[in-house]
Amino acid sequence: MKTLQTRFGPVEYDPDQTIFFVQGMLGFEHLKHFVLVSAGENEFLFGLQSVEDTSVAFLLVEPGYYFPDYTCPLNAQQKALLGSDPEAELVVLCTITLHQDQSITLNLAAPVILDLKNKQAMQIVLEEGGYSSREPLPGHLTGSSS
Amino acid sequence: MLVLTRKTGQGIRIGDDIIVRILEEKEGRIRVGIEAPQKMRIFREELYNHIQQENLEASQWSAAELNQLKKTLISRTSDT
Repeated sequence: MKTLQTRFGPVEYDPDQTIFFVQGMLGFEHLKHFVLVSAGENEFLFGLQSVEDTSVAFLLVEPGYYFPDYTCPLNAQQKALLGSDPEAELVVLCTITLHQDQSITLNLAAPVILDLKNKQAMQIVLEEGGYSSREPLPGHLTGSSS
Repeated sequence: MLVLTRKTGQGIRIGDDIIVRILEEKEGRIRVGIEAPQKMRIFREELYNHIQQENLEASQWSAAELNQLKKTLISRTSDT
């Protein structure tokens, strides 16, 4: 096991069990190996920590939690690249952007597809479906009024 | 930047396995066909730049902001 010092705190990981990006995060395509970090008590909030550059990490959520109708069909090329077998369970995650004005948005236009079985991942860009790269996180500004 | 002049139907080869072909020119719009290996991602420049910028901003957060986000998501969950 190795340890990374990150914004999540120390992250222990097995170098043989990292997530490999067959197509990287746009703008960070030189970074191939990441570790999925659970972010505390929120089971639907994840951290994606770069192994190669500890200063790079993303926060992600499962978009289906907020947008039940969200779909991101993979084409045959993308499926082949990801190397998933037919029974593979693919996880779809969207990055969260925290803005200076405290607003929170999800990038529905460029989700991260993760195959938990073969530990390969890719960021894809959805040109159809009309998804925004800055979709406001539903309801977060209403607070806990209950 | 390398600058080449091409006529409609003519192409440009980049390396061994990329072909860019000018298909049509009409009223200032140029249709371009690209043949490239499947693993190469091809985007309109503005779309690429847009997602790249969003990723860059998404990568910039602090531990304090993460803690705030966790609280926000928990309160949101308990609301529903």
